[in-house]
Amino acid sequence: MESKLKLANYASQFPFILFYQGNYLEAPTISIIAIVEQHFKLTVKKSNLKTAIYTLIEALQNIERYSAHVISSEDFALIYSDNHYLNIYTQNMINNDKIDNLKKKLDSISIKDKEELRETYKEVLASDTLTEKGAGLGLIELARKSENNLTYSFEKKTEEYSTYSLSFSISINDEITENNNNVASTFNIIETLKENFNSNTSTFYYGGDFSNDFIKSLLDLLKKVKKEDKNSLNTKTHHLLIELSQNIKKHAYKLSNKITGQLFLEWKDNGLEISTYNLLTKNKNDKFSKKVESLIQKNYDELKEISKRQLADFSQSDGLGLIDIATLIYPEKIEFYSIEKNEELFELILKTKLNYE
Amino acid sequence: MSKEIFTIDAQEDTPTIIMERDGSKNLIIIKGISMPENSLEFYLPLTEKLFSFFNSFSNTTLDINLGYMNSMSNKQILKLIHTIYEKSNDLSVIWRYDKNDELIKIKGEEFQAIFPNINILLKEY
Repeated sequence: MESKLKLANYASQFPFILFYQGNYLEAPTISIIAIVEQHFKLTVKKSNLKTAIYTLIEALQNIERYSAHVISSEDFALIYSDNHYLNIYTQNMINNDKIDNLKKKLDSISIKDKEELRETYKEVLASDTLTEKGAGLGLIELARKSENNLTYSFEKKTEEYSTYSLSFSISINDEITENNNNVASTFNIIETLKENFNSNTSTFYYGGDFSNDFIKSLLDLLKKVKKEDKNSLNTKTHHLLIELSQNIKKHAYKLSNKITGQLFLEWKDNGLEISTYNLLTKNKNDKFSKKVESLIQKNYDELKEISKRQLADFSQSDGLGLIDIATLIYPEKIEFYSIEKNEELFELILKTKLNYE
Repeated sequence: MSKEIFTIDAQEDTPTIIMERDGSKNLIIIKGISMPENSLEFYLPLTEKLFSFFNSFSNTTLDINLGYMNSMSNKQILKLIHTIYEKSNDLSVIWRYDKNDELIKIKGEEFQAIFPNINILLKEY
């Protein structure tokens, strides 16, 4: 839990962060875009958001296009923002024989100025190479929209494969501000993410608002990329996510202009772990701890009995969510870790697990 | 007497509602997902609408098929069943659930246990 707390604390400075590591074959792009779009639609000017989304699509499709699709845990995208910039970092496995050509394209794009990029774009658009897969139009567009701050690297892993990473930032705010978060901070986050998620087969990590729009986009994403999961696991996952997300929405303490909470979905060899992080007032933390400590003592029949009593008691409007969570993950137990942040607030990590059948 | 129908379309996080008055038979269908953050805002006006649409609740079937339901909605649906049953005790409830969905099935069983006198039929699909 400590490394999770470290990541959560680090990410808390940003109003938005999303990381998805896993299968990029089943087109997760649309659902990821939907999550980003719904988060920024009220705060970012429409034309700026459009440009940011446009480049994000290119970047995510860049993974789909160049990935060798061999080790899905090596394919990932990180998207985060400080409300001035949207910072995007992608990585994927690539066949070594494709590197030369790609690197040549990137090298030639990265030295061009704005005008040259515009010319190159027009040339490529008009040329016959358009039908070729990867004529480089997408990369030229990324360079143009990001005012050419593309950073890229290749790292050889085996005789056959390397990792290819690409990162850039897009301004989403018309005020000109120094982009402090770009290289150093992206590097820090990537390191902390790897520390946390290295052994996972797949990961979805998110910090932002927990509206129902978000939950629905997330469920869409899971339906697409986790089709191979057993159905029963899927429905359980979905019920859990709804309760956990709405719990955050309802109970988390929100610091102004900061994310409400964070969500971790980690696919391991033997099951799926879902954790949440958020701040709680002391009073709510005490109530929560007491409730969970009592729930984890109960067996399945006792949980069902408690649920029934709570449901039938019309005077109570609360508390069913946690009971449902405990019932859904049984025989696994809810785990939690809460530490005092200051006199009034606690940091809470709640962890649940669903085993594969 | 001809059939009269009133429909409330599904929204992002609320289900489709169909109310059907056919002679002496009443049918209420609740279908889709139900996860509004404040479920009272949906279920209170719904209950009012049901009361204005149906002259009486005798011979009523309540057909519920929810893929997702948050815990707040769960309670509101229980209240709805209770409210209709109080008006007329020949209520039948059909509770549909996906065969892979243990939680929704458990919720149906809970309703049966809470209301042993109401005819609640669990139907797997």
